[in-house]
Amino acid sequence: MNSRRMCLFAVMAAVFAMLGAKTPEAHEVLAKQDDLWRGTSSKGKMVMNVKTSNWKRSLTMDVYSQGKDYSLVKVILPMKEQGTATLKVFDEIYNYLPKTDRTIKLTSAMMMGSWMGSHFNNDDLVKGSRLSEDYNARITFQGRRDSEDVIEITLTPKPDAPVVWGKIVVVARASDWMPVKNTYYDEDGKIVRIMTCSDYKTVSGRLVPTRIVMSPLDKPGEYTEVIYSDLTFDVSFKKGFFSIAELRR
Amino acid sequence: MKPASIIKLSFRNVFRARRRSAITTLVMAFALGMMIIYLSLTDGYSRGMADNAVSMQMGSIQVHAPGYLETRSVYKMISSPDDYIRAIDSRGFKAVPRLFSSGLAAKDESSAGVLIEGVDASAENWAFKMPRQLMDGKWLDNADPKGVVIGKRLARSLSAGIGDEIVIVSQAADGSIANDLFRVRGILKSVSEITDRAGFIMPINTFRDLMVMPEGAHEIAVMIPAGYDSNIALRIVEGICRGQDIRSWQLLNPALANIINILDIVMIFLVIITSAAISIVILNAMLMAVFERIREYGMMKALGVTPFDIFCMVIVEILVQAAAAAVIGLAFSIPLAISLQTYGIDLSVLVDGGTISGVAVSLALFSYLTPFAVLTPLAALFVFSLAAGAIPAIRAARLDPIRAIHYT
Repeated sequence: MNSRRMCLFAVMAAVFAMLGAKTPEAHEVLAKQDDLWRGTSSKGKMVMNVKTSNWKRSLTMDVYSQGKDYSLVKVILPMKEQGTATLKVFDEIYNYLPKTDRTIKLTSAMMMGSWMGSHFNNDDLVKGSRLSEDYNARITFQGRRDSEDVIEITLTPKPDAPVVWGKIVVVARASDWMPVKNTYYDEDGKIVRIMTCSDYKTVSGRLVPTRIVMSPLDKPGEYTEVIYSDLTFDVSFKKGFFSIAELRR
Repeated sequence: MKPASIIKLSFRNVFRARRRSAITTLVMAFALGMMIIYLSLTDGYSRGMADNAVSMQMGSIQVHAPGYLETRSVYKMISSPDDYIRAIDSRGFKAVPRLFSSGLAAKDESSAGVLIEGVDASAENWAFKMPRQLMDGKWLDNADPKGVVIGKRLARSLSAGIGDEIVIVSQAADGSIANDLFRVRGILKSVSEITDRAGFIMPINTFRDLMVMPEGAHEIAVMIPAGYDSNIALRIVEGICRGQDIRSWQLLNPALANIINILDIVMIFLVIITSAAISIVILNAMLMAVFERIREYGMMKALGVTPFDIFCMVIVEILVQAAAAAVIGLAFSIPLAISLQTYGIDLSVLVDGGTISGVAVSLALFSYLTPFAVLTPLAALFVFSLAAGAIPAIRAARLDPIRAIHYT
């Protein structure tokens, strides 16, 4: 699922940008992340728990992805929403609604809208893997923090980049480059939301975070928690799997 | 000199240069009449704008849960709107419940952000004009739960016509994905900025099912009878809906209230400018009259007529013309202003419809005749005439009799 990949891509993107800084660490991070995610296909289950001040809900979904450009998410539970699906093909997002048997293509104006009622937005699905294109990155901290050796990378928007964040601070584990925390700032330098990654597990020989939590700072007590299970990598999908027709199946 | 003699001489002077007096009087009469018609049209226009804003859909008064207008949170609801509505209706007002939410509307490849409104179809029709502002199709019907009415610009952006299906996606109050298929039943004419661009109106029970909001209302819109004191109405509604956020239309749309206030100031300025222009005409005519009669005034002063008498003579001459102008001006402008109250002027041939401060502008210009519209230009006419006439009157009064008699 994109949120997981997003977490990793944030780190990867930072690393991409760090190439310019010619720091060996950056280059190493890049290479490692690149090898880990580039061209990877995956499938798995995802439980998304969303808590707001007014309601709490849990969605179970099937998740499929191929590289950075294709992903498909289908709701299994609750029954009321079973079959609801989101397809990402490059920069385009389609939502399939089984109740009406209609597919809606999201326009750019809807990118800041919430995805499936969570604290992630549609833009996260699209731009999560594009941070390096829109942001400059530099290492701003290396050392011990919260009893863990970490690397902190600060991403600042490139001039004229069509971005919504004023700054993103990415924290990765120094030992294996695993993403730990992303802090998103608005243009006034105020923290808007924090995404944390945890529960790292080795799946198909790859280490990945299986729990991601997104917390908006302007809504205390609210969060979206994503937990992955049954992850499999290097899956081969039939041609046309990531298509609008597949959404309805 | 006796006042009667002064008046007699003034009258005689008016009729000595008949053409000049007639032209001056007619110009004054025309200006007075035009000012009265303009003021009554402007007043009618601003009242029409306010009335349009209020009676279209806004209402004279709106009731919301505290904080709703600031956040527009779907969870800030008036919990028992029916009790309030019944109590408000019993006072002779008309109150309707409304629910709002934002969502996404999609048809084929087009999609647009919409403001989903749940309304009581029959109550809206009873209280407000909007249900009759349809460009195409019909108003909502509770018996047709999936039939919706949409704004004209939204219809254009979705390329939707009557009978077309539109998908709505939103987030229900319980967090689930609200989505359903609706059919366009009606398309509105220009109503308000937001409704034109994003209005997606459905029966209130359909809204409740879609958004999982079984009870409550985000808004109660109240219409008060024409002529009812709005401050008294506001206090009555405040008494009924204790603890809720109650606002008059002037507070809900301050920009429109300001425009109306500015129009009042513009009217006063127009009266001053027009009257000043007329006073120049009077000044010119009276200077000519005094200039022609220099020798006459010299003779009168030599015979013992006081400067004050001569001053009064010129002033009365102006007053006679102003009074005649007032009679003529009122005689043609008042009936015309009254007929424009009924028939109005159709502007649709000149301009397309639009909105001011988010409120649809009426394309028919009706007048509204008030004592203000008659008395202000009338007072201005006399004040400015006397001010203009004072200059030649003083000149005539100050003439040296010897020089005046020998003036060539």
